[in-house]
Amino acid sequence: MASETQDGWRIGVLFSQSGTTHVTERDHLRGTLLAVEEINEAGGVLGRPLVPVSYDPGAESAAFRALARRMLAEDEIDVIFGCSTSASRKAVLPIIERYNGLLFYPSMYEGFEYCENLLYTGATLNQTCLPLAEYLLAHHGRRIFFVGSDYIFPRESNRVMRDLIESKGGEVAGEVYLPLGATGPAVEELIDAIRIARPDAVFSTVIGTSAHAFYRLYDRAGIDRAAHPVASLTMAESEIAHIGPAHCDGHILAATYFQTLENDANRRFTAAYHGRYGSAERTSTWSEVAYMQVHLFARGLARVGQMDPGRIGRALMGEEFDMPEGRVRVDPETRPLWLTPRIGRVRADGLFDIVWGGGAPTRPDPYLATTRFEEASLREWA
Amino acid sequence: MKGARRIMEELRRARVLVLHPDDEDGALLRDHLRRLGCEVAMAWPVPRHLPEEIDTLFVSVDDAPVEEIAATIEARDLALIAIATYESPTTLKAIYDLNAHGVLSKPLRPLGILTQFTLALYRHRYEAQLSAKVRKLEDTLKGRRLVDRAIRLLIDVQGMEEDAAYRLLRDQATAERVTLISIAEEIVAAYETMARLGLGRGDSRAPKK
Repeated sequence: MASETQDGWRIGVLFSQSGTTHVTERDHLRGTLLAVEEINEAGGVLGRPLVPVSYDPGAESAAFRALARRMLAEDEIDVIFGCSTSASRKAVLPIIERYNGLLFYPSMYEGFEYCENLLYTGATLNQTCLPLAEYLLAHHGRRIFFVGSDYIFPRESNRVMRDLIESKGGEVAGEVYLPLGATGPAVEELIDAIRIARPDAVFSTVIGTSAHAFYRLYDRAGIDRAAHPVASLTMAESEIAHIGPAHCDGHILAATYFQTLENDANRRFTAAYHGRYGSAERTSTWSEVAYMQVHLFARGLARVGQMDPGRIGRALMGEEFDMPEGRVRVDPETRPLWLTPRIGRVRADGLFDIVWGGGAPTRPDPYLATTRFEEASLREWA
Repeated sequence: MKGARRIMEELRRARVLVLHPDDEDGALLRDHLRRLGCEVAMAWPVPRHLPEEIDTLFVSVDDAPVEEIAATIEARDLALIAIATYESPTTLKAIYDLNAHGVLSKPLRPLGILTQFTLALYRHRYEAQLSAKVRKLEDTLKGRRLVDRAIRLLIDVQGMEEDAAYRLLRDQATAERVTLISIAEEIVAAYETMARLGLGRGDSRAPKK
């Protein structure tokens, strides 16, 4: 251990293997470790392997904060790959700033944040919500019911989505928030509220175990998913597999990656993933982004030649990469990535039919500073 | 457009000037304001006059004498965010004297800029609303005193009942399509003139000038 520690590049890995978000964070962990192994098998970075130091925060924000501090202050780690929710990112951010580290954050997020100690590799709301709002109105109807887990990402995403739906002529048929991790009667009450409101579609930012319960009960309630699906930004292949595809087909996901994407980088990625974790396992927007950001980091580290978080971050600004989800580019002004928006619908085998795809990467707009809500993105971005 | 989105739209409509040296902090602030979608100009040292269109000012208060900044601002109606490095009494007094609506502490970081910017615009607008209300109340109060005095004159000099005096004023104002106050003003002026000429009856106070 000691010699490897001295010879390798130590990196922190901070994803939960238990708790409400265990499925998506397991994907994050898997994508991260797969990329690390690939890089090491290819000779590491400048001849030295990446040495991941991984802790399990158990989906608790306080644990995220404490473990990030331990990595930065005691383990002498400068770069962390971690956090799956905006709640955990917000908890860790002041620590990362104080120790001047670098956090690679791989989830879709709500924006309105800029920190030079972070690299945001997930989708911003303009990249997902703008086409999704239009798609729902065009294919399912104008009455949309909003649900979410009660923390910052769902609250902000729903606010933006509400504005989008309303500015495009739609209507809010209801809005309900569940406590993080709620699975019991609260979810049943939510299903009742939806049954009474009879919306054309549901926009859901419920996450983790609550979302699994919600999808199962939505199925049990017998609502026609082909006509009235649940659309989300997070419920990807691995969670659909966890719930059971038979309970989920017809639901919609707006994301930048799907396992069913056809390109060489994705074929290599899915083959490697299946080889490493089993052929029944699914790749997702969670594992792919986590995988991608380790490769981004490795290129930055190779360029800088030393574990200098500030310089590695700066080295990546404006850089382009070919990833399983296609060409991505780090936006030097706002720090998240140019990504290609897509909309998928769950099919019977639990993978997604891509029902709409952008023609090129879209600029991230975390402050919604340049996004025109009236823009016909389905047509103009295709 | 609703609450949260409107706040961002208002920030983006603001015409911002940053009075700060073009160093690391200045560049960070300018870049972040642009990231939020705002139009930003920078100037340093503090210019003698502000461009006309500016309505929001971020100003470094430790790097220039407060009198100089105050002279530049003059009577301009601006939302003002002070940028402070110290918490020395001198800095505190500058924040106080400039009537800052928000404060940013150096070294600057992106987190907090949006908050202070929003707060400053809100407080500036609220302050303007309150001032307008105070002015209106003062005018009303002044008018009210004038009406009272006119009624008192009609009672004392013409021997009218209070109700009748008020009705006379009101009907005349309606007939002439002017305010009650301006009728009252005319009556008071007329009696004052009469009194000055020694023709007054009852109102025996000395003429005003």
